[in-house]
Amino acid sequence: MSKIRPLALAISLALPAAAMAEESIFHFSGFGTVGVVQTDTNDAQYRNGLRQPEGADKSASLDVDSKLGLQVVGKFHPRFSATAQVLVQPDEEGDYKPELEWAFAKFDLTPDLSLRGGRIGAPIFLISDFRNVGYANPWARPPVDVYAQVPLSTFDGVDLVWRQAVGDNTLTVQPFVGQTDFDLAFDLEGEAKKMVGVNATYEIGSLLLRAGYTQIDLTVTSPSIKTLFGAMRTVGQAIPGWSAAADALEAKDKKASFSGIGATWDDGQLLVQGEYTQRRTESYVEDTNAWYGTVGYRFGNFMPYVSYASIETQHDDTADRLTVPAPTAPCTGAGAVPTQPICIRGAMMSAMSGADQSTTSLGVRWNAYKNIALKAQFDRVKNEAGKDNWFTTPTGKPGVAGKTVNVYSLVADFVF
Amino acid sequence: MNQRLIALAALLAASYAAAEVAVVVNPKAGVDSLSQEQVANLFLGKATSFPSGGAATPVEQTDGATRNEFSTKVLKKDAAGVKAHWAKMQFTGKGTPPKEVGGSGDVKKFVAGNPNAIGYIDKGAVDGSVKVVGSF
Repeated sequence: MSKIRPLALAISLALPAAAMAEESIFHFSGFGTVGVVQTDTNDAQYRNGLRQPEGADKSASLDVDSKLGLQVVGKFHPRFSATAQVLVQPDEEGDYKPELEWAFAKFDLTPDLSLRGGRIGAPIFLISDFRNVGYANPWARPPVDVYAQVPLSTFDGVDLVWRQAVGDNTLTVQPFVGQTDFDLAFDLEGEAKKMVGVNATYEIGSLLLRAGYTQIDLTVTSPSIKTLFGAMRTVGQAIPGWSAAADALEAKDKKASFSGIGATWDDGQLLVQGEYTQRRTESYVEDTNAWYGTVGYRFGNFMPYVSYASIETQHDDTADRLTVPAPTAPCTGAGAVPTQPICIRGAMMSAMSGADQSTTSLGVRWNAYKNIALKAQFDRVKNEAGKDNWFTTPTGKPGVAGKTVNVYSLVADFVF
Repeated sequence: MNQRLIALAALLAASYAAAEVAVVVNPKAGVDSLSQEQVANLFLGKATSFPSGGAATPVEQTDGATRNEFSTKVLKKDAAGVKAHWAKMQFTGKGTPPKEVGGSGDVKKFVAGNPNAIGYIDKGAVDGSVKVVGSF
């Protein structure tokens, strides 16, 4: 009680003071999405990234797109501000729990140069720092084929934002350093250490050009991945090459990089946007190349749009090249001996994470009210046969490799 | 018939003239003229100072015909487009939208009393208390 009283007193003093001040130093705002997604198959579930443990199938899901963000900016001095953002969305267990997405202090060194420190949005993609703000984007969700490549969205560290007018054009260069960790579905845990990157944009009227590069020391592991590498090293005591392959494939402080170029044209009527990206890692997390292109045209409050996105895996053949003795028993089923080298190699190859899929989307955005946009989107996702994809396959389901899946989405995005 | 057409044309011209928007600054700001891109950059948070180097404080009008006119002609976006732009800026920590101070009269008063301010008003509302740096 004695602890609560000073707080209550502080609040009762602060609230009227803030309300009376001609211009409050605190600025509250928020954004959110309520979305419902359904597909035409129960073979696997459609999700928006590697963190979601479940997604949509023939039964509709609210979890693919729904989220709520709340932000407060405190401007304590004309040159000093602090920003905190809390985001509520399904986590790696599928639970809606609030998380501190951002918490940074910003100091304007000059009108054109600011320094930020704390937890900051990672500018890995063209729209990565507002990928969660549906209202600011044309689609129901950023193209999954491309945006699922990097499951981290923030980092703890510092950045500089330098903005320079070049005639009527604007150049923005944002170098950053930091680190972060991230939890993904199915007990996967990741760490990105020694993160160093730069994000640069150049705006020429309606045209925005963007290039970015990020490198990290990547660790991605889970109890089952650890067991698998342990098994490889056990085999390595008898068969040459296996221990070296385990060292080469294990994502333990391995160099990884992500680079991308992108452009947006938005003249108020026509919207054209595209990105090309490359993920590279020296581990079982596979190298990928992905891109998308979107075109939309506004007719008053309606904007129909079409989009195409694609991702390809650059196959890492480290596991393929391992020497394996002929099997003496099956890997699964009756009488299985899953510890045989051939079974471990198979498990390793299926653990390699990447995707080979493409998505064609058709949609329409309707600015229904001044701060609410409604969108209806149809996606046709084509998954390569014999390859991985970003769907999640529940135990006992056949998966969607080699199949085409139709996805239907209705979302309401709002800002306040 | 011809007379009627001329009358209609005059009426249309008058209504267009009335809808013209004047971008105004404080006479002490030391700014002579600004291009549409320069004004747009200031009002969209892409620039924070005048080309001459002085800090600029843009002020918006509350929703209405003059604001729509300004958004369409100068910012090249409709109301939802401007809102979406600020959602991006705000939720990436890059800036907050300009303060809304009211109609043409309120903006004029604010600009006249604040050397860093830049606003826009209906062209008919212009007087000696503010300086026009662009008409759109």
